[in-house]
Amino acid sequence: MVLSNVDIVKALKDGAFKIEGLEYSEPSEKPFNTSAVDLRLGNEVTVPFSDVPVQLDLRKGNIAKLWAMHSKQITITEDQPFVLKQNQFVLANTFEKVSFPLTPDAQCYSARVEGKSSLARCEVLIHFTAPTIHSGWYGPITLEMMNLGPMEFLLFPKMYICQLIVEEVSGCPADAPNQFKGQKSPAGQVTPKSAETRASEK
Amino acid sequence: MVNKGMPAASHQVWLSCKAQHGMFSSERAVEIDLDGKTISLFADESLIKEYLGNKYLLVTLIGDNGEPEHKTVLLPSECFETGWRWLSIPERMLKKAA
Repeated sequence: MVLSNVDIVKALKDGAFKIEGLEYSEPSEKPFNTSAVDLRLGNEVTVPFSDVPVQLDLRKGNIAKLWAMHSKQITITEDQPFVLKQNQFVLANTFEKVSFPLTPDAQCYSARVEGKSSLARCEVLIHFTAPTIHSGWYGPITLEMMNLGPMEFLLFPKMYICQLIVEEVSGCPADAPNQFKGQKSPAGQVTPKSAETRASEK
Repeated sequence: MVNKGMPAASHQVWLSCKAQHGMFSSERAVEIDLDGKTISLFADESLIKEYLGNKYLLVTLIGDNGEPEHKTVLLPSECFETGWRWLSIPERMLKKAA
């Protein structure tokens, strides 16, 4: 079931999920639509290199490192927006960070990121093929953007770039590990944080 | 509707990994070495911790999977090499999250 603007605000106030950086006051005002909330563009655009003499073979491993090495990060400002040229593909992410936690004994949520009709009229794709923000996700949303229009398109930081449609997840995404059922706090194994704390106390 | 028996936040564990800059300043390219085979994914920098020179990725512990001394974990995003978020991990690679 898709959440209305009113239910999105209620869930945010209840802490059922989080949208860090979201600025709002009333569900009947921006950045809300009747059944979605608009998110803004962050201040980085990443341009994958287009002349890499590599054939992608996902079985080989280290694909994330490969992409990180063969792309360029560009910081955009109000004075220096990114000029998205015709047929150019770039990655960007949202200014807001979203968190859809896997919570015990409570409703879980997931979401879909979609473009906005105003940008669609400009023939700018905001994402393709991967709109789902799964339960358990934390972080900004990565946008796969492409300009299919006849004109160059300027990307400014914090411009409203996409909309987030939030849905209830029916049922359990996964069973709890048996050894932790009913346990309220972690115990037993050494944690990086607690060990670090102990070391500093010595 | 209320879900029962799901992994709680306390079921998150740290998974040994390598990490370097990703495609955004707040993102890390994560590598997980599984007995010689490397899988990789992108994750938010806040999900990576460094401790005693080693790096760890915060993942959700799902539980036993029938493989001796292994656990199934849920990665924060799908890895390129398998296309899945589920992963069977040797227990020795996991540390309990605080």
